[in-house]
Amino acid sequence: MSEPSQVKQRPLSPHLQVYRLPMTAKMSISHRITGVILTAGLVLLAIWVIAAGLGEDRYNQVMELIDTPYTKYIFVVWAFVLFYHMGNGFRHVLWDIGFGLNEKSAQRTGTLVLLFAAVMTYGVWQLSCGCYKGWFIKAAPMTEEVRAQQGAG
Amino acid sequence: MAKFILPKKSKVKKGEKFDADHDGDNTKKFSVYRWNPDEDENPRMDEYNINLDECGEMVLDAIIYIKDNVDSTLTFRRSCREGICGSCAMNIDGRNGLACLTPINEIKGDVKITPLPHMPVVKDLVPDLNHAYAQYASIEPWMKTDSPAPTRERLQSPEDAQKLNGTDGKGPSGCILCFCCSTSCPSYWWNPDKFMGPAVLLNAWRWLTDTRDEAKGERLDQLEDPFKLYRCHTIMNCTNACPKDLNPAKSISEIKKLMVERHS
Repeated sequence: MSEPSQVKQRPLSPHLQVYRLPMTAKMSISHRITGVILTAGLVLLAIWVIAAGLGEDRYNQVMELIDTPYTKYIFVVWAFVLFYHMGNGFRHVLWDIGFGLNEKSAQRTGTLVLLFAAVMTYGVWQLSCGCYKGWFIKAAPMTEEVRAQQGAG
Repeated sequence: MAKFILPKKSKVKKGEKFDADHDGDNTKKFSVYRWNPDEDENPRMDEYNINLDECGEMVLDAIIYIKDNVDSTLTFRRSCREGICGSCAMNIDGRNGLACLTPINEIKGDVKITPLPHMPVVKDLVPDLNHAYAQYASIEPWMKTDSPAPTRERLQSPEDAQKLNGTDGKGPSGCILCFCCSTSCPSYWWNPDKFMGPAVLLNAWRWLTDTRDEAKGERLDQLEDPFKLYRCHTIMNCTNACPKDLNPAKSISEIKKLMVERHS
């Protein structure tokens, strides 16, 4: 028998280009993306905390850099990302112990995760805005009383 | 590293248009993936406008109608036309399924038909399944026993048989090997050479849960690998795509649980 016409390279059929990803798939890829965003955000958060530890001058320097009109929106998004990743992580743990592994449950728990993230984001921002007038805790100006207290301590 | 875009020679171009609606009112446009190995061209999407009053109600009926009446060069696999042979698996309107079980009227707008995703194409809607079949063979999908053969069949209790058939008839033995699930799985798209894919893992589970099979350890050893089993990230496209309503995601999870049990 002669060889079939396999000489030519076969094309690869379309995949992402045509597939209508179901909700579960969209949430799966979002879990990864939010993980990356969280890591990046954590680095910034670490810089902020370290700056605070290095004293007033350094802290104010860093604050000048990051305190832009957009910062609060970035933080709202980041909070959502955090709660989404947290909720979805818990969903993955449930799956790993064998719970809720069918289409209906997966869609239901997925909706629950989205709701959880939205409610938590809203709650946290309500809470923090209630506690502080600004979006950030500005370093309190060093008053004579504070200086005296610190000197005494 | 996963390649999200198609290679240059695989990019899909616009194709020809065929008007075969015969001035009917009940018409539908079918946009179908075409590639001919005898021409040195890129794949293309041909459009067929057909009169639904002249053909049956399933997508398979429409493509058979096109082949019979409009364009006899259209190539696809089909056999039983009732969802048991698994031949007419393809991507219809962005979702994998069997053309014979997909009603045309459930699809809004034009019907876009492409071969099973991320597979080498032999011609038109016919994908090359050799690799998937080889992976299936690698799990040794037959009963393996050490104990001497009884003088009659190896018997099973109805409860044990239910592990294979499922209480609702949707257990792992219902798999028809159409590979709708494997080719819907992004993990399988990016690692087809190393990851077994949902169809093969579902069948691995079918043998692991068979009370007559005596090679459980050996079967688990074979899957103990960072890729073969653990590339499943519970995306659940497999369960969503299965035209037989089986649950490959659950089967994979059961195998993972067996692995944990074995190590503890």
